[in-house]
Amino acid sequence: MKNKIIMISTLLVCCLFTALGAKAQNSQNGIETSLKEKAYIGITGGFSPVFGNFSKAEYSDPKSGFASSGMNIGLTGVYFIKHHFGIAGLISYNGYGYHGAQSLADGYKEAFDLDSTTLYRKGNNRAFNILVGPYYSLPLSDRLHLDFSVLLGYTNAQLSGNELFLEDGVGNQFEQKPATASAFGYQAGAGLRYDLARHFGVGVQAAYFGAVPDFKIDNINRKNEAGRLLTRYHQPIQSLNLNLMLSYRL
Amino acid sequence: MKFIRKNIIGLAALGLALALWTSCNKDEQVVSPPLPGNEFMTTVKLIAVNANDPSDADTASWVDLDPAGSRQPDLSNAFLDLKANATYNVQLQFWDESKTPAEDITPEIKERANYHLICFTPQGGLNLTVNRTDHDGNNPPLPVGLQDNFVTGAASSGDLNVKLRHQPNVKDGTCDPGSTDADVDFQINIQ
Repeated sequence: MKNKIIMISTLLVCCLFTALGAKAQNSQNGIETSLKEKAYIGITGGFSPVFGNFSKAEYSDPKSGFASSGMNIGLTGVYFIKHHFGIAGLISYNGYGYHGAQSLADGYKEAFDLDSTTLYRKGNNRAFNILVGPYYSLPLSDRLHLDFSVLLGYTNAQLSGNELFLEDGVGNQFEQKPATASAFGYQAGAGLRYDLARHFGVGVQAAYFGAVPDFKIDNINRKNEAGRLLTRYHQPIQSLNLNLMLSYRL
Repeated sequence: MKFIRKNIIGLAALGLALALWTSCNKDEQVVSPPLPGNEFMTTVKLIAVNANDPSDADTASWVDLDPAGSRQPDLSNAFLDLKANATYNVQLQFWDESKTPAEDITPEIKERANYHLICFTPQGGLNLTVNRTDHDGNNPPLPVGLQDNFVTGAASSGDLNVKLRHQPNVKDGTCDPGSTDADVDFQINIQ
């Protein structure tokens, strides 16, 4: 994962320096291509495929997070400090799906030597983020901008739980409670933004999101030491946010 | 141009609304149904060895090769002869003799000892005390019953009921919770 972050960062820095070089050359030649960009706010939303252990769904692997791809929605704001450099803020919500419930139900059935089990999912896999960071907007034409950002900040995530009903006996269901934890979150990405009118614009973005929350998991009514039992989950949440954006320039 | 702009904004708004809607997941339920052709136990064996006299050993077998059918169990060897006022180390075994070769189910029960318990109930004035000597991996450890001490009293005879209790996530050291995997009677003669 570190390699991916380094690659993305390097790419962003390269783009930034290339753009700066071109800009400096234009200034030296007396051609000032544009003034300070206008601040804007935007609503973003789109598809969020997940990666890594968080997306695995193997009963026997305690690293499995049983998360599947989901969607994200966010509110972003960018204020340009000088020319095309700015600072961006993002409040976003990533709601991931859940998969592999059958693997859990089958695994518990085998582990407790039962005829059948019924598993109910409890809660969602999700991440709520407040991120800020540097922003660079490279004008490709009067209306079209290529934007880059690296955002860092706070992530509060939830790992979904489950309740399992064992086939025989009375009241012998047990539950892995949904767990929440806060962690350092980061998101790096690029996007194209097009100004439709004086104030309104649309855009497409691709950003890599990550956080490594340390979930402490409560288990209810686990009387016997048998079957999959998680008391902690400390694996990276990684997803790609492929978004559309509606923007409003101030 | 205005028409195109409106459409682009509309499509983007639709995409964002879809993102919001799908990010609100619903709870789901999954059932793992029974598998056909589960294995079953046909035979329960008690292997008793006198703790002070290894030459004093006896094996009792309770056999039912047709558990689902109408055929009666074979009780011809379902009895133990024990000496009075003695202690026996007893081993309990479970077999599936419907297969060829017969399969010893005991290791599987041992592996799943954390939710299995064997319960012994002397009946009909039988002077016998059963102490389970093996324990499972629960915290704190709970008795299992595959290894036992049989402590005999004065001469007597009667039945010893043996139940294999399946107690997934409800095992607490008592016989009540759970369901019964095997329920057999042995005739015990203490002389």
